[in-house]
Amino acid sequence: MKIKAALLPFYRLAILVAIAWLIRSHHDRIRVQGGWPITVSEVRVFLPEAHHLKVDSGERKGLIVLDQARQEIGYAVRTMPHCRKIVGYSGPTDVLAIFDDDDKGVGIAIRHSYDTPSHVEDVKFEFLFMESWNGRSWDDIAEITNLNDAQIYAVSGATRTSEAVAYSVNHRVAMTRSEGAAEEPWHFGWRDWLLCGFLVGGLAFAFKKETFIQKWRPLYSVATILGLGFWMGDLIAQSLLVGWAESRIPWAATPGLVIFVLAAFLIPWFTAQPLYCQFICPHGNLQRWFMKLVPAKWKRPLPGDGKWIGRLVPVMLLAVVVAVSFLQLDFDLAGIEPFDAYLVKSAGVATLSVAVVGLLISLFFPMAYCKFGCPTGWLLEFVRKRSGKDRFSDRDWIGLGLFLLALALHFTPLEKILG
Amino acid sequence: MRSGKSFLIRSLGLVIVGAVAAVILTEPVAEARRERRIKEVLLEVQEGLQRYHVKEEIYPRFAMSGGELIDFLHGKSHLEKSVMNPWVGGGYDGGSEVDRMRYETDDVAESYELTVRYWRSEKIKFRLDSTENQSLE
Repeated sequence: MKIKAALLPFYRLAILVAIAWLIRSHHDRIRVQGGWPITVSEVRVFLPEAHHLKVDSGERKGLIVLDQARQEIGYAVRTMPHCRKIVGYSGPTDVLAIFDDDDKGVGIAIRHSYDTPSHVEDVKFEFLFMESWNGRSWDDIAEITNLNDAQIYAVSGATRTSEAVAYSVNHRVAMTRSEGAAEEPWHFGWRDWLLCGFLVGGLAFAFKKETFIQKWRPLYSVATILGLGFWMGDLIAQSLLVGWAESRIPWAATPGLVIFVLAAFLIPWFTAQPLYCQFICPHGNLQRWFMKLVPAKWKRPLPGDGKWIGRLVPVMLLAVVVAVSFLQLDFDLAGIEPFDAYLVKSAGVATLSVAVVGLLISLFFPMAYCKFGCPTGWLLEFVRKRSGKDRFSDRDWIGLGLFLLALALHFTPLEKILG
Repeated sequence: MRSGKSFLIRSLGLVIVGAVAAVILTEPVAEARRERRIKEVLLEVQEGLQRYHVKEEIYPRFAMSGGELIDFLHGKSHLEKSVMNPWVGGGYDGGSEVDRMRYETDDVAESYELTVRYWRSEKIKFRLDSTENQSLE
């Protein structure tokens, strides 16, 4: 494959950004759709031209209904889980509300109810009630505070259930107003300053080769292990990156950490210098100290085939990370890396085991974890600018493979995989 | 040119690494599938309980395991027999099968509580009741 070398760095960065975007988009969909996603066939009952549902991650947090030509023809929302506290006779009801392209209601449908089944049936078949929202605009519905004033009358014999349905629809529509995103105040605290300090230190050792600077590197190495690792526990890990991709980047809450992580990816991308892995990572630095504990003659070089197989491990772990995130599996990603082990009090058995075993192996196979175990390191190395002649390598194919895996998991409905 | 032995070793390594990934993911995927089935069963049983409550004006009076409750509701025609045991993927027959669902009620049978517990633990994973936790979302 002939791809101009100059484009390769952009390709690599684009692969990472695309995977992160897919994770974000997938989780936006889950946030909007909840446990029981709205399907096109449900919407088609009211909007026969409906062909596709697009997640609206804006303030309405619903689904934009598109036709075959991808033109917007309406909007759909469900009342659960937002209205789970609105209870009728004996439970809440999940209602689908559909609006046309003029933002006017075209119908509601009861999707599922925890309420008394016979009451729910009564409400379902009381068409006068079920059509009470038809022709009303989103804003008009949002302003309803009294059902009778709005000429929405409860169903006789199922008063509480029908009122719960009505209030759920009104509350779901109105909540977009009351939930106006309160801006989190930007806060640059001492932890942020300290992280920036570690970053500046790493930059100095990476780019300033003067002896009077480099002589402090052992001290800096110990400081990263004790300070960044054991004290602050701010190591770049899959659990952190996936968490940010799934929800949001905490620019306001921890700006220092955001700068730190961005620098870890972008400085190698611009300069080819493996800033984080080589200079800052506490676990990498700890391995460098461990290497010194054993005489050189005890160390064993890994055979070529062993290296080839070892390099598959971080790739396999990244595939696991992608699968765990998209399928929302009950699996703690902190356990596949040693980084959480630095927070000793709260560390789990898995992360402690990875840390200890990784360090023991590094006694005989120098930096073994970094080379053959670290998925985060693989990502940082993936985007790092290549010195010398650059070409589309195995890593680039693997990156493409991970992107395709994310793409497949994004577009495959969860129920197809999880039953 | 790479030797046949090297190719064999690398292929074997690839299979082992793939198998490790499968081992890592198998249980969480199985658990996620099970959870979805459990939620479906809970919803069916809850509907059956509501039908029973409409007819009898109380909930069943005695605490029961999931299987017992399903048999009970089925016997009173409030539930289809086709409810699957989410832990074994089959029916609820025999009574000795794995069943982590429990039904409980108060002294006067005016409220219900359906719970699903973690394996070999009293810790509750799902709770559906008539007072505080009225939905699974």
